[in-house]
Amino acid sequence: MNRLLNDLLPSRRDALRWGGTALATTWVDGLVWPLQVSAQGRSTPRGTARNCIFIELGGAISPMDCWDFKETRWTPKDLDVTEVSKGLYLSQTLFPQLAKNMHRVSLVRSLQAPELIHFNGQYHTQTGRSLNPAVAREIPAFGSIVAYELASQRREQDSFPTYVSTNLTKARAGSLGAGFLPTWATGLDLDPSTVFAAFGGDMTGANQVMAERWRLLTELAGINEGQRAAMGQRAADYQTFYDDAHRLLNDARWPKVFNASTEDTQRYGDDEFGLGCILARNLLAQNAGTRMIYIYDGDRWDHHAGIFDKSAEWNHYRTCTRLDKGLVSLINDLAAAPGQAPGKTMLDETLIVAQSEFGRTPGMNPVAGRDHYKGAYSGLYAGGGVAGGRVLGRTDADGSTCIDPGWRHKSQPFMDNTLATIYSALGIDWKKVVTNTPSGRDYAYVDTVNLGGAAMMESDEIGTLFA
Amino acid sequence: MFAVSWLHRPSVLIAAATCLYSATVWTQSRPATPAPAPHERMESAHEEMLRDAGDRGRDAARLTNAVAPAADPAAAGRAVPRRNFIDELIFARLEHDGVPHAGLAGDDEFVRRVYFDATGLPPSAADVRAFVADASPGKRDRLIEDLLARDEFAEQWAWYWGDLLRMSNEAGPGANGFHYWFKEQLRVDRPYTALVHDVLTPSSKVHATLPSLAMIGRSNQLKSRFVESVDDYRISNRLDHIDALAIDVSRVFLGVNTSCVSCHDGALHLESINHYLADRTRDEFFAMSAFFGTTRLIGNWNDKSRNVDRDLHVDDLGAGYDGGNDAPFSTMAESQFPRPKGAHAPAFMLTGETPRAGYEPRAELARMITEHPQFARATVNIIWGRLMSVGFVEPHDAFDLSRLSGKDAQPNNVALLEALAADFKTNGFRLKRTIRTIMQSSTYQLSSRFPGEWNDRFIPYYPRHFARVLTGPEVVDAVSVVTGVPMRFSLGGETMTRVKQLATPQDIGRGGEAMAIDALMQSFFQSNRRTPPQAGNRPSTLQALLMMKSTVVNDRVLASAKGRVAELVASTRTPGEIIDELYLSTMARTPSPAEAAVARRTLAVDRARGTEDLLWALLNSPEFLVSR
Repeated sequence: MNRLLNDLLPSRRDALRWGGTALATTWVDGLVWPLQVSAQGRSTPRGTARNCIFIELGGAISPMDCWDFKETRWTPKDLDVTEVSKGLYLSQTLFPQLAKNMHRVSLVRSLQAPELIHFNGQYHTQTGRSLNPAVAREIPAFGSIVAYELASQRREQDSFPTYVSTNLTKARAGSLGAGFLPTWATGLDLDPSTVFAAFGGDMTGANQVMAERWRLLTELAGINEGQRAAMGQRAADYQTFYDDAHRLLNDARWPKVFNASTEDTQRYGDDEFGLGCILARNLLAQNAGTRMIYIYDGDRWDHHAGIFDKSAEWNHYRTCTRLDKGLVSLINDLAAAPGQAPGKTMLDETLIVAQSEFGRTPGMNPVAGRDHYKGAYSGLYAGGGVAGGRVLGRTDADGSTCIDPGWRHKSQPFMDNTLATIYSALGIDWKKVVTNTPSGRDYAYVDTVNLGGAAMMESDEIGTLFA
Repeated sequence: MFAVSWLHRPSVLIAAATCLYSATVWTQSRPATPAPAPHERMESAHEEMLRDAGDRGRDAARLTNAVAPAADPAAAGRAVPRRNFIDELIFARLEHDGVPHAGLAGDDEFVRRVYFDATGLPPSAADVRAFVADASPGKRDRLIEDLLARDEFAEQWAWYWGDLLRMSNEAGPGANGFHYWFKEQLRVDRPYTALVHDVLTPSSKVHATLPSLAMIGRSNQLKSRFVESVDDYRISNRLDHIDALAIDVSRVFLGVNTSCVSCHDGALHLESINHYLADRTRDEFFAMSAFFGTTRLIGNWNDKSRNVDRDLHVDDLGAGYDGGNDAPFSTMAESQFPRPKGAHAPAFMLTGETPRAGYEPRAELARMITEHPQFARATVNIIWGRLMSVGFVEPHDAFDLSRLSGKDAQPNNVALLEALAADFKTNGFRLKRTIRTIMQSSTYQLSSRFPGEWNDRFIPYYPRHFARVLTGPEVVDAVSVVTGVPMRFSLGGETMTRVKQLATPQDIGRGGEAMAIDALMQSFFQSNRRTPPQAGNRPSTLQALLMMKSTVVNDRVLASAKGRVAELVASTRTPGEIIDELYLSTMARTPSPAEAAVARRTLAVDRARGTEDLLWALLNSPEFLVSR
């Protein structure tokens, strides 16, 4: 940001702050920047999941119309709300498929939001902490923490990046980098609207052309004729990016990620969200190193007005049914796919979380919309050791106040605790604190901030979700 | 809880209406301009801090070490001619501190660099041949003169100023006019002071009739179908809009990013970031905004669409800047930073000067800005950073006005920054003239190839030319020019063949290969202009993936595309001549014997396939994607 701030960063750190989207391929065995960690071993991660798919419902889904349904004078007549299981009411109109699959998912209705502004909320969701401009440049996306933690488990045959996101460059906070972590922990963000055309399709023929071209490119790049060398002494600094890209393009599994049949797009939806879910399914199916997938659904939930106005482009009927199709198709496809361990399904080994940056006001505003609300909202969890069919936490009659936090603490869980849950399921010690950050400020995997008075945010997973 | 009771405030209608539209992404430009929510200003302020992260000096040095071959150590310190005051200051400092420097760039290195910096396009093979063959003295100055007179020069720099001033499709019909107007100003090198006056001061019945008004008329948020009265300017958060204007004005014309103090005092927030801003108060920011306090932007009501037109009436008959006249905030988080009630009179943040009686505040602001020494500093810093890959202050809007000189000075070369600023002022604030002065210096013309061991400590000395990754528009335009298969865009009914001929990134459109072009441009750091320029100077795997796989490249290298490859294959040229031609047009040099041998083997197998593959390989080499 300026020299004063830069001077705070040791040069070895800067040497690693390079190239936004490098992939973890050749770096697996050498963690070049050993982190000093304190407070290790204070949590007991469950390790019930091999993968995680985090779905960010950008703009904020309305809990009381969806997963914490409250009938009010504003409720449209056509929602067809039924009691799916004991105490769980869900609109068949908005969630026709989810209603049939609630046995696979659990809901937490007691979440509390830390922020009320989209940018800050989405930043918090992606990093598990509030935006602090003073240290923002060293804060990694939590997906990068996962990539860093799982690096030692990467296998020789893994060529995909551990952390892949979809559509995130279009999120309010953008696609955040690896912060103080090595560059290889950076996520690769794929834009579902372009990558299918760019990387998919029949690759026979194209692969031969690519092979010949690559051979030519590397042969030319390798020429080192005294002063005429095409590249500088540190040519590898640039070449690595091409090598990584080529290794991906040359991997027969890569184009398969970008196969979406007509049947797929009909089931999932043929847009940024449905295609993002198809990408997630395909990435896991290829089993080529990707373990953490972050799907940004495109910021369609910010219903400040006309939430049930069917003439509005992104009215609630449309956003909900779109979510319903993609999410449930993903859950069901993973449930039907075999996992790594014998007898396990892919869903058993993959924790799926769907959550917004905050909730929406229980009362409808005068223009028939709901505004931002942090008092209580809901999240959805499935797979990866999470028990199905549970509804944790309760709110009062209008959904404004939490009356049962639904876990072993008296305060409400935050996004930070969802993050601890993800870390726990993936076998990551969520109480770790990194002490040798560039700024010198400790980085806690799960931040525990003061909530006012003596109350501190709990550094705990939402353990009641697990079977 | 709080939000429930808060909901019953009747005024919420207005806030909710302005909140309707969320930020859109530029790859999905919509027909209607979405109105930014009131909180967007605050969001974008924080967003910038993240985007600006990174050390441009070290990035540039690292990139240069990767792409520029080492030079003979014997060349270190070899004298180069001192051509103007830039060289006097740079080389005196190098000598004084015993820092070795590169020799002058060879003709091939120079010709490619100056073409890209001046026009954003690579020289053709014929251009390179003619320049290298020219043995007469003064040929570099003549080439600079030639390039600065071209349309492509105006396009290249107008595009960059479009990035700085954030001229996206939010500007509506004004964006096109602004684009043509700005190009014309550059072409004739009209004083930048006059340009800034034109941008800040006019009034108009229909803002699009005055091209320079597009910045003030940008992102008008007067659009809502819930509004009954257009006279109620609380339908938009008017104070948000003018605060955003005040921030952009400070950022681009003064090099100071006042985003932080638009929400809170600098004290206890900015001490480790910017000493000057740490001492600024929010009231001082309000006073700066208050220059626009009487400015009214009124959308004309359209009964048919029950909406306001995108053409604005702009005048200065408003009530002034008053926090009590603010639109209500739509969430509790936004109201963490409510504007306190009370009127604010205009006062220039840098001096405290207030407008003279009888003068319009906007005109007074333009005068105060352009008369202040920081205006010249900020402007030459932008140009220097653009041409030298690393500015005196990075990013360009991070000036700390408390550290302009002395032991703890922020600019990496205080004397040269002041000298360039003085030169800019003395010679009538002419942008093109300053660009020419820098390009003519031996400092600009140094080779990127460093003799001996590089040390990042040398960065502030500019002892070599620093490389830069091409910008998004440069990559796309260079691919189309080199392959001879033009892009096809439409602007105002006219077909355009280069990105930089367009007014905004959104003009790329959505059909055909537009999405692929978008993806490529974004990976090379093109902003959507709703946010400030990203100014990244790093290679990435995503760039490599797209360059190797994008149809923008791959469809153009095919002989069937009927471009340069088809022409070369069908010609009577020998394989050696084809290879020379491709190397010259992509890298502005002929191949080395070893490179030529590899390429000849490829062409020998299949003349057409070999030519395609060779061009593909050249377009995918760092030497093509970097200007050094």
